[in-house]
Amino acid sequence: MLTAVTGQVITATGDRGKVNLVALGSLIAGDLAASQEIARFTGEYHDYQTILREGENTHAFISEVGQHLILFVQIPNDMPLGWARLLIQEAARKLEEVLNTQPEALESLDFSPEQEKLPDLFSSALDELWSNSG
Amino acid sequence: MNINWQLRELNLKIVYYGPALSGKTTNLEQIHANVDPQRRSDLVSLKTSEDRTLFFDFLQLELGMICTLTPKLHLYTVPGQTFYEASRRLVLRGTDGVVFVADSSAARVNDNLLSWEKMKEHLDSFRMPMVGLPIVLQCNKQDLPDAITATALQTIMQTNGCPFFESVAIEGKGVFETLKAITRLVVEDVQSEVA
Repeated sequence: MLTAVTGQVITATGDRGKVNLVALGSLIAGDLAASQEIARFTGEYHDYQTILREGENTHAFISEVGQHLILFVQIPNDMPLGWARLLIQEAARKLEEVLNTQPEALESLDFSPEQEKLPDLFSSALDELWSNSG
Repeated sequence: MNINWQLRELNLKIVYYGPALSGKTTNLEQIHANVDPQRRSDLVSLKTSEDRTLFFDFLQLELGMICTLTPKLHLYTVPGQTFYEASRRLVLRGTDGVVFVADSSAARVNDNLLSWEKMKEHLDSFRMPMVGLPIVLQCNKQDLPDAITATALQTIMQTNGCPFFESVAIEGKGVFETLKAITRLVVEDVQSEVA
C-alpha cells in the first residue's frame, strides 16, 4: 500500500481482507512520523527509514519513499525478514526514482480563480452531506 | 493537497488545533455523528486510558463530485495536553488549513495564546508561514458562565482577521459552520495555488 505522508491512500494491492484502508493510511502516516521524530531526537535519522512490526502470522514494514510517500508492506511470517527488508527498501528507492522523473502532461484542472463558484460548490456539497444524515 | 488522478480524488487535510480540553475531539465526534454514514470513514482515535487524545483523531469525509473530481476532506485533531508538543507538530505536517479551537473561558485566555504561538512556531518549522495559511478561529464553550465573546477573544489573540465563530461543540452548535468556513478558505487557497 502506498500513501502520502499526510495519510492519504494512493494505491493498494494484495489481499486486503476487511481492512479499512482509509483509517490504516492515517495510522501508517502517524506511525512513520512518530518514528522519524524519535530518530531525530536520538540523532539517528537517515533517509529510507523503515519500521518493522512483527506479528504472529504476518509482519509489516513501513518505509519512507522520499519526502512525500510511504510504502506499507505486509508479508507472511515464513518470509525471511532480512530479504523482505532489502526488497522493500529497493522498492522504495525505485518508487522515488519514478517520483523524481518528469511526469507526463496532466490534464488541466479547472480550479482557476475565474471559477468563482468553486467555493460555493464545496459549501453545497457539505450542506448535502450534513442534511443527508440520519 | 493531493490529487490522485487515477482515482480522480482531491484530498485536503484540515487540522483542528488548540489547547487542552478546548473541544477539538468533540468537533470531530459531532461531525461524525451528523453526516451521512455512507460518506464518512470511521472515527479513528488514539487515546490514553483516561480518554484523552494521545496522538490524533482522524475522520474522512467524501463530498459529491466537483469539477470531475471527488473531494475528500481529511480531518485531524492534535493532542491538547502540554507534554504532547512534539506530537502536535507532527500532525500539522502537510495541512491545507487549520481550525483553531479556543476555550472561551476567561480563565483560559493564556492557554489559548500559548497554543496559538506554539502553532505558529510549528508551522514555521515546516516553512509554512501562518500568514497565508487558511485558518478559522472557533471560540468554543460559549455556554460557560465566564465565557468571553468571540469578538473579544479574537481581538486578544490578534488572529490577523481570520474568520471566527462562536460554538458550543458538545451541543453541535457552530461545528458545521466552522467546517464550512475552513473548507471554503482551503478551496480558495487551492484555487490560487493552481492558478
